[in-house]
Amino acid sequence: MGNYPQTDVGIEMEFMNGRIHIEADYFHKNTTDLLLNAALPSYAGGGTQIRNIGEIENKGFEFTLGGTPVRGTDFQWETNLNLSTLKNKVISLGGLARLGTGVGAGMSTTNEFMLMPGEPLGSYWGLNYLGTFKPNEADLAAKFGRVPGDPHYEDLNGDNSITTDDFKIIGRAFPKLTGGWNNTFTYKGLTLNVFFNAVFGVDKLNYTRAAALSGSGDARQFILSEIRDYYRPGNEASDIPAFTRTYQPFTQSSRFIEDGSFVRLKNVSLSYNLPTAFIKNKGTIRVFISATNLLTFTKYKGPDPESSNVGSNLDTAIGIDYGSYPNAKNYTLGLNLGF
Amino acid sequence: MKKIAIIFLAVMLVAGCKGYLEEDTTGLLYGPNVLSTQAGLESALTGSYKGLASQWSTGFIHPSANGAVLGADDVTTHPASNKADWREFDQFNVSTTNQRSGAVYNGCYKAIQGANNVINNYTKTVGTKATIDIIAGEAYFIRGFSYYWLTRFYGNIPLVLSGEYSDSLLTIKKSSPEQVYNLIVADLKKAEIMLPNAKRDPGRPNAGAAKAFLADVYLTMAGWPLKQSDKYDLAAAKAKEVIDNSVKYGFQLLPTFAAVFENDPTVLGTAEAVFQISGFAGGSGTANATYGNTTMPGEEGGWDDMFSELNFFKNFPEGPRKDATFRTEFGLGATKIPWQQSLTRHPYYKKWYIKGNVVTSSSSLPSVMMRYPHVLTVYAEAKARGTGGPDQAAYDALNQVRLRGLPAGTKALTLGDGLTATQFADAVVQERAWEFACERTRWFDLIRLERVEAANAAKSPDDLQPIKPITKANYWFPLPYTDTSINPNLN
Repeated sequence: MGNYPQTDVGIEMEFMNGRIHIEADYFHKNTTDLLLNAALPSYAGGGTQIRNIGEIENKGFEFTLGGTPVRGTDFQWETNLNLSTLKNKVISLGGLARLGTGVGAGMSTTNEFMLMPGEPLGSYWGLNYLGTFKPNEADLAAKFGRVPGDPHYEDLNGDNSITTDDFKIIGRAFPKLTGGWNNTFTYKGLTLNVFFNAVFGVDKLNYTRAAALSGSGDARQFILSEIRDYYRPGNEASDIPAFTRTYQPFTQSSRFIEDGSFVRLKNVSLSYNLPTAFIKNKGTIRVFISATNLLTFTKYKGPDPESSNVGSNLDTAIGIDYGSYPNAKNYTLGLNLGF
Repeated sequence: MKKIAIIFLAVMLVAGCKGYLEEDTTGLLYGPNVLSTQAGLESALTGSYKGLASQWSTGFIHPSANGAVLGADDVTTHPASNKADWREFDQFNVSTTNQRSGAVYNGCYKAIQGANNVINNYTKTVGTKATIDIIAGEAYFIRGFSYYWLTRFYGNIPLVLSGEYSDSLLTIKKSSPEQVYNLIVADLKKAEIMLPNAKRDPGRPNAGAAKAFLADVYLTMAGWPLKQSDKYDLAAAKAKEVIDNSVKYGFQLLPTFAAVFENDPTVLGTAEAVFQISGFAGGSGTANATYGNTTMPGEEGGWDDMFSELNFFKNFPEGPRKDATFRTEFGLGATKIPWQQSLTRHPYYKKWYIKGNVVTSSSSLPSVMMRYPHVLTVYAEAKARGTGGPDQAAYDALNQVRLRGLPAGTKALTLGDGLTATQFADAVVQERAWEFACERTRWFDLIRLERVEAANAAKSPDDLQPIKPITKANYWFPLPYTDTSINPNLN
């Protein structure tokens, strides 16, 4: 199964009669004999083979700050903020220089992720998209057999040809920082709970957008409205490729890697306990209204930065969004009766 | 009563535990003691065929192989839409992530793995020897057939001969085309002896099919890249064997070209099929998608995957064959649009329309991997390029194919027409282009005769052009990235 030696260092502090508490932890864990789904070549039958190989290092901080900033007779505010970071790194792959994982989506024939010693898990593998060839780059484009308006990818090995040899790590599917902030305000019988969660420093591979904007695979139409901004005379600044006879798209490119950071008002609820006198001490009545996923602040272009993921939920293949169902906004109105 | 029940239970448990830890490997399709029964061997063979016939994933019952041969001058594809994968072949810019050639690659290796399993084990199988030999003969045929496709597409490839996985496969090196062809010839020579004269089913090979493919393999070996010109004589002799025994093998040239492409899904195949991979629309992943949608225009609900190149259509000789080959007016209702006014402005291939113009991508029609006239033309060309030049039989073979395709009353070619041997051989090659248009044949002719560059230079400027000048490096596709990324020895 794997071997997990782990080191933890932590401190816990309380101030002002427990009105403020702080916790900080650092962990360092090395996982050896990792169970990985290693792809087999097609000439050997294809598929994957589960193997005990390699070593991965995980380290990070966990930080919690909590307290009761206001503790009055009628009004009280309790708050709790937690943040955690995680850095992982592949130490070794049992002698292999690299190992592809993924291919969950059917948008690409090759692995979306590459494991390499020194690099973290969830490293996206693909071409670096430099935008469209511009009119003054016609000579450069011609070296690749392209014309201005065609997609311009970084030619890593300089052979004037865009192939899988030009693939490199183009993003990270593991967030640098995740956090949650919970607040409870009470005033007499009223309770207001507000909970935010947030993820920072994460890349998503937006295949949903790729399918709608690149005309590859089974997608014959360009169905996103932004296609109207495609490269054409008078609109040469656009990085949405032109319709040419030399157009060759690669969905596995940084063009469809997006910042998936977000802050989300995950839950807000307001409840009111009716005074016990109101029902003559025979029980309790609570009415409440709550909403989940009410507000989201993000630059991500898909419907939901939090929803994932196609194919596999393995931690070596996270972060691809290909038609994944977005989290719903929920509104709940309720009545609690106690006898 | 209670006591009896407990004793009974205890006995049951003891009986149940006996032999519990001894694994019964009967029926497993791998391992040292397997395929000991004839039924087991037969099912291993069936699994081998599956690699060649998995709709949308591997093999030849979806248009992947058709896409991969677009570099020839008979077929092209849509200049835009979602056809980037197809254009890569037509424009000599094939990426290592291309899904089309990958489907052939994966399918052939899947078939090879299954065939290896049969070939490496059949001598230990207990059963009727005559039947076991046929099963093994089919496996040899499948392996030779699959490697023939692989080496023509990729050149240097891993030569896998084991049916079981071992870690050593992860670092296997590529074998040269010469090594691969030696195995193909050896396999087909075994197959021609072990296979019966009659096919067990329409979708299986017989001895005639093995000989016909062997003739074709020899013809290819005589050209690029091996250029073993002594193989022309072997090709002619082997093709002649098939022609002389065509009745025995059940091969014939149908009286009209149109009859070959009636494409009635209720008919299991025609007597012109030397070897076919059958489709079955009633199963899961077994239907054939090389007919219907893929070669129909958007105006008829088609996918515009492949259609005729303009100059190829223009130069195609008039006659019943041209009429049955091309669809030049589109529209399934009363309104007809001439091809010149259609969206892609190209004629399409009627020969891949399903009877009644049914718009579907799942039919029970077979993928015919070689037709009998192919054998006739192999003989005619190989005889002309081999010792002594074309004889009367070579002229007869060419005339049979040629006259069926041309208007009634066309004069036969004769020895008296004064063609040199080379002129005659080139006439045969041209005849094959017309006869087998869009049948995955022309590309291989252009390669072995090193005419890819010339054929593409003669394209209409209104067709897709090569993205860079064509070189010999474009004659083969790069091995799929899925495999080169795992095994560095393939780079």
